[in-house]
Amino acid sequence: MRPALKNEHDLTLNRRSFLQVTTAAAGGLIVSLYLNRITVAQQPPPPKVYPPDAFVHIATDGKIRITVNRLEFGQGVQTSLPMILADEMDADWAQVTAALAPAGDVYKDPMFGIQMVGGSGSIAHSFQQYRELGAKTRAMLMAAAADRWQVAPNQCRTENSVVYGPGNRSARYGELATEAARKPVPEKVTLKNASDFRIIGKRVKRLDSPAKCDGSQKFGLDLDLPGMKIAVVAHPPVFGAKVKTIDDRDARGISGVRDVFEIPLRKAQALPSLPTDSGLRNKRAISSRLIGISPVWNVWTLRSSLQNTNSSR
Amino acid sequence: MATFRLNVNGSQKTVDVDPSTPLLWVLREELKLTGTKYGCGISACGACTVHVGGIATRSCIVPVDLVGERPIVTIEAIGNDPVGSAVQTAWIEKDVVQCGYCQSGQIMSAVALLKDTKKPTDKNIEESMGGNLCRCATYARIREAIKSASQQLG
Repeated sequence: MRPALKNEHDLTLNRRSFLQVTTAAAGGLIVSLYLNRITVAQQPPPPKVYPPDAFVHIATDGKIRITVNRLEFGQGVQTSLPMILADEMDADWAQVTAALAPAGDVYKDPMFGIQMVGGSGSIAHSFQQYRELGAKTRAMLMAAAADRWQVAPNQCRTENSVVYGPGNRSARYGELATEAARKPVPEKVTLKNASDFRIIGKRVKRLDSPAKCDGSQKFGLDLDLPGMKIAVVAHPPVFGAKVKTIDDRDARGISGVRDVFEIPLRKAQALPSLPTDSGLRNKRAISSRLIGISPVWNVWTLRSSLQNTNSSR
Repeated sequence: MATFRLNVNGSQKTVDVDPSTPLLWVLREELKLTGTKYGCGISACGACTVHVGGIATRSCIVPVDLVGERPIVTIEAIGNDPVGSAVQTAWIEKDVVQCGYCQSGQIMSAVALLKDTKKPTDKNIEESMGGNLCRCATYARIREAIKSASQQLG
């Protein structure tokens, strides 16, 4: 039998010993737990109270948009987290769409303390968070309906995006949305019993399918910002190779190419400043990589030009 | 640099590019049709598949000056075609996608297959779709969806 955990510190230690025995089998897990260990102390903690308006938007026509604080890369989180929130909210699932969150403190992983995806932690870390968000939203909708009907909130119940009150009173979430948004966010809410789940545990269609079937889904490669430059890294042909000489005449001859230079990869911290024009030259140093900066994704010529300039060991 | 007139998704487009530029980059960079994806750049993965003159073509290795007047159809417009629309519907119905990055190419290859072979066998599907790689390994659902679309189309 496993000994009971005394505190969070124990949890971390236990996770670390767990890490040691699973090292060979589970790459993603290792990365995430490693991050956990090194970032908990450095990063400001994510907010303890999550404002529902950062996660749920109810339009007056009843459409519900739920913001997902993770990246969707096929694991299905863009559907599963909205399912959790919608269930506690008693939402009509047919009205639910999902949006991926922008960067922001409020969207940090509640356990890791940084905004990230990894280690199969999305549901484990955000199950409670998304349930509470759903329950709070539902409570605010009920409070708005109760006000409208001059009854006590506990005389109301909810089902499929509708609040029902005493007598034959009923109001759809969409028509209550504006009033509900003015209600205070309840600090504590009672969550459903698992036996009352209507959406969790059911098979639903993925919310991200249509956009991935008609080319409208934007991936990282598709990002197009005004004045954006693209950095293309030419890797050496063998691991650990160092540049001896550089012949970048072909690369520089390509229309639009701004610069070609070596970058230091001894410290990963040097990377974030690379895609900008300023500061690039400061980063030149002993390196085993070359980088080209171009206004377009013409990687096909730039990369092959640069490839030729890399020397072997 | 040279000027090319291309028939893309039913409309005429003029681009001014190097003649050796692969069609993929003309579509993505010049015409901003980013639904077609860059995967390998060497015709090994199928992510960049579009229709050129009705034939499923790896746009990453086709220089733009070889296209000529052949009509180009990309994932953005394939839904206007009855076969394309049936395939997209089947893809959603069977929950084919995971990360989705290869799926534009998968769908374009599947549509080309169904236009050519109305009732494809497993072997037909494997032969036609074998060049479209999927890192999420959605292959079983792709096969299911192609059969479902075939049935829908009658």
